[in-house]
Amino acid sequence: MNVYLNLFFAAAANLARYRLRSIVVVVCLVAICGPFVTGIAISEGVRADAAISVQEGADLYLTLDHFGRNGPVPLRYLRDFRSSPHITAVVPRIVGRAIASVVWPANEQRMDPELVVILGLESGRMDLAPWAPQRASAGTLRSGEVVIGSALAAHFGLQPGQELRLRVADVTMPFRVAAIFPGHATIWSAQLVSMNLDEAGKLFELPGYASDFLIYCRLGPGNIQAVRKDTLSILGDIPYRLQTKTGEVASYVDKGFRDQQGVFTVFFLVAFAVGIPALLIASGLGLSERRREIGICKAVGWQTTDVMVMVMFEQVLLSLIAACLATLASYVWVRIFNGVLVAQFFISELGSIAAFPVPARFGFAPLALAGLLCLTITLSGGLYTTWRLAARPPAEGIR
Amino acid sequence: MLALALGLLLATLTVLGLDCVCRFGSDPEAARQFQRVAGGLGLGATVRPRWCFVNFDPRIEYCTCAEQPVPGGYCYCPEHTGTVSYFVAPPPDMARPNELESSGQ
Repeated sequence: MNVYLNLFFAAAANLARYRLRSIVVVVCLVAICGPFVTGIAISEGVRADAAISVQEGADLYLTLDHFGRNGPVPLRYLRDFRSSPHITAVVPRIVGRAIASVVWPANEQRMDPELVVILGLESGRMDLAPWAPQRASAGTLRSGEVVIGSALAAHFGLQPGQELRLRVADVTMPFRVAAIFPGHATIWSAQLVSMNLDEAGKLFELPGYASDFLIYCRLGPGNIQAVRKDTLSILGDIPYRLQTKTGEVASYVDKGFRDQQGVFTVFFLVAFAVGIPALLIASGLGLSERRREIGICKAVGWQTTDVMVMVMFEQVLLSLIAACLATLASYVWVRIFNGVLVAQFFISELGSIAAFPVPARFGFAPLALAGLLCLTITLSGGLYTTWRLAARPPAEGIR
Repeated sequence: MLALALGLLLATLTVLGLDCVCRFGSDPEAARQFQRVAGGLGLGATVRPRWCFVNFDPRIEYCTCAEQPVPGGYCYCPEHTGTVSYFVAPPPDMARPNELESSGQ
C-alpha cells in the first residue's frame, strides 16, 4: 500500500514539476470535455422537461389514421367519448404550423415573418391567470385573443394588447396578444401561439375537426383497455390510432434521449481517444523529457510496472482536474451566459442567443462521464508510449 | 497539485449539489402548469417543427419525410440530426390501428 501511496505522491510532484506540460494537457482536455458536458447537461434538461410533458399529458391520444399518418378527428365524436363511464375528460386539440407576422407603422423596421406552432384549445380551457396576472379577473382567453411564446414576443417586440397576424396558405387572421408565456416554462412554448379551438379550425380551414383528442381515463386497472373497447365501438370501421401515456409516449422519451446520448458519448470517446494520441505522436511533445525521466527511474531500481503505475496516477490526477474544470466552465457557460453559441448545436431552431433559459441539468453523471472521457483519452495516449519507454534498457533512456 | 485537485473536486461537487437542490434556471411548476393546459406538448430538443413534427413531438405526427422527394428514399429532413434527441416511429405493433385492436392484440 505504501508503495502505491509513494507512487501517487511522486506522480503529483511530477505534475507540479512539469507545469507547462500539465497546463497544456488540462487545457486540451477542458476544451474537449466542455462541449461534451454541456451536451449531456442540456440533454438531461430537455429530458426532464419531456418527462413533465408526459406526466401532465393525457392518458391516451386519439387520432384518425390517414394513409398511415395521423389524421384529424371530427368533433362530432366528442359527445360519444364524453359519455363513456371510463373517461373523466376528453379535450379536443389542434396543433399545427403557421406563419406569424406583424404589421408595423411605415417608419418602423419590419421583422421577418416567423414559423410558429399553433395550439388550439377549447374556449375556457386556457386560464390566463398564471400567464397574465393583471387579467386574472377576466378569466379565460376571449375570441380573437392569443397567448404567445416568449421567444416570439422577443423577436417581434410584442407586448400584451398588440396585434399579431397569422397566415396558413391563403387564410390570414389578425389576433390580439392577451398574454406571454414565461420564458422558463418550457422550450416548446417559446414559439407557440395558443388560441381558441374554433379560431384555430378557421385558420386551418378545418372547422369541426381537431388534430387529436386528449383522453383522460378514470383511475383503476383495466380502464385504459375499456376505453380502447369504447373507442372501437364509437369509431367502428374508421381507422384510428391510440397512443398511451405509459406505452408509446413514455418509450419515445426513454429511447429517444438514451440512444442519442449514447451515440454522442461514443462519438466523443472514439474521436478524441484516437485523435489525441495521434497528435501527441505526430508532435513528439514531451517525449524526450519523459524518456530521460523513465531511464533514470529504471537506473535507480524501479520496475516497469512502477513506472506505469506512476504515469497512470499522473493521468488520473490530470483527468480529475480537467473534468472538474470542464464541468465548472460548462456550468458557467450555460447558467450564466445561457449557452450562448453552444446551445444551438444541441437544441435546433434556437439561434445563436436563446431568448429563454436553456434547459440543463448538471447532475453528477456529466462529471463522472467527463472524468471517464478524460481518463480514456490520457490513458490511451500515454500508457502504451510509457510501456515502450519503460521496457527499454535504462542506458538507452538516459542517453 | 494534490491540494488543487481536491479543492477543484470539492468546489465542483458543491456547485453540482447546490444546482441539484435549487434547480437554477428552471421552473418545474411553470412547466407543469403549461403542460397541464396544453395536454402534453413537446418532447424533443427543438423549439419549432420547421420540417416535420417528429423531433418536436412524435405524438402529433410520424415523420413523413421518408415519403418525399423519393418515396422510401433517403430522408433529407434536418429534424433527424443535430440535437440531443432522436425519435423513431414505433414498430407496427405499437402503432395499432383498430384492426389490431379488434383482434385483441
